[in-house]
Amino acid sequence: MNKTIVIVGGGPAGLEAAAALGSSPHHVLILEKEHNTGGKLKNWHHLFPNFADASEILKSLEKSLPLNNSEIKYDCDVFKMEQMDGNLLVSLKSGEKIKADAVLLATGFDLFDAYKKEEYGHGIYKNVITSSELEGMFVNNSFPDQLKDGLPKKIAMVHCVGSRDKKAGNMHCSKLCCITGVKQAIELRKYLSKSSVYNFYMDLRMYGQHFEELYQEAQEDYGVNFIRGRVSEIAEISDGKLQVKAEDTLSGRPMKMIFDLVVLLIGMTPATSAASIAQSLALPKSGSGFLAPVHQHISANETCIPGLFLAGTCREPLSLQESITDARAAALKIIEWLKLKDNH
Amino acid sequence: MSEWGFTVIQTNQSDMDQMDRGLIAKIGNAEPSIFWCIGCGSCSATCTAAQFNNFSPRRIIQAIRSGQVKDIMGEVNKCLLCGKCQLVCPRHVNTRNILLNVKQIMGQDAI
Repeated sequence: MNKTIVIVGGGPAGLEAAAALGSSPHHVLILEKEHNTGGKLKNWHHLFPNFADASEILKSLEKSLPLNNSEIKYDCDVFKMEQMDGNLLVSLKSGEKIKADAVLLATGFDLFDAYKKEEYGHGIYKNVITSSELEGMFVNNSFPDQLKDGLPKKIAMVHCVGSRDKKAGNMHCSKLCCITGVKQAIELRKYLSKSSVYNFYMDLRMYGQHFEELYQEAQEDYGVNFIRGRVSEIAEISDGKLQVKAEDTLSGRPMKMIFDLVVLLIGMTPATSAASIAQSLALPKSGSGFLAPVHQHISANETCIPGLFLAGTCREPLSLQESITDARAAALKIIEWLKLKDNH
Repeated sequence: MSEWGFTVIQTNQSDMDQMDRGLIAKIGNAEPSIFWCIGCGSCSATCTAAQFNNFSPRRIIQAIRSGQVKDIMGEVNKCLLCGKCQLVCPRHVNTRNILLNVKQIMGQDAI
């Protein structure tokens, strides 16, 4: 019997899951909260570690969406779900209710609000920007004029902003900011060839395929400087220039340095859009607030609610590649679950 | 007998088996957050005293944890006890209380 699968979120994980479910006879309904699909991938120019064109990847994800059995609804705010006779009743803010045989949460993540780290001055000093804002400047080619006067510039990249930080309430490592910082440092060196770039880090976690190689390339081919020390505070001096303080822990001395631009590498935090859904189902969360699966190792896509599945960064920080693989795994689990449901 | 002039050179290695665990045992008890430090250096970066002398809260915590406490009182006395180190610490280490405990414990030991 044909069933309805609701996917909450039309980002990379939601799109890939829908594509993977295309071969099933079931009806797939994607509920997207924005006007278009693609999620955070829309704001990426080039992806680490190979500088792949993000818009090409998004296009291919959207193209693989099966037309015969899938449907996308835009501007949908899902705020509540209830269990009802073995199904899930999905409530939208518009008042509409949808009965689903299975639901996949692919609600993604929120970016850490850098203003919470007030000592770094985001939202106070105009030349303190986030990594996401820098990526947007590459997408729209919208660099501020003062960077484009052809004079040498000094740029600081601050790692671990809002990650691994008890004060910010985030003990987790967002794990992708390290490589993003290296990628963007290289791009800045390419774009502003007279610039010098300094990355301030606590540890550099180059966990993925070709991440370490890119880190070495940044040092050897692009002369990016790496300073092992967490930035304690940033203050604007004159002409919008910024004084950054850190300890160069390898030389053991406190240091200060003046920069033209400071880029804060903000991490991933649990999506607020998933919070009310999780609450309505009493869905457990992990220590950092991401949605918790039944078992991190062997059932990472299943939840304690029958028929409710997780894919992508709603359950932990993941790269695009990992999110896509995760979405396929979740799709397979959904097909298995619906077969079981039919047999009962 | 010929004199060859050979001497035994003092090693610069820390012998971690022989380390002085007295102070870290006491401080770890009184202020367990000393074990949370990840050595990022934000305390030393913001430290007012460190701008003028070679004081470093990060190095003191590391020294206590590795038992290198011989000259610790001289170092600790450079602290102004302003507490800025605590404000910037991403791990919530109560650095000021660690230093106060060093003073207290080492002071008692001196008596």
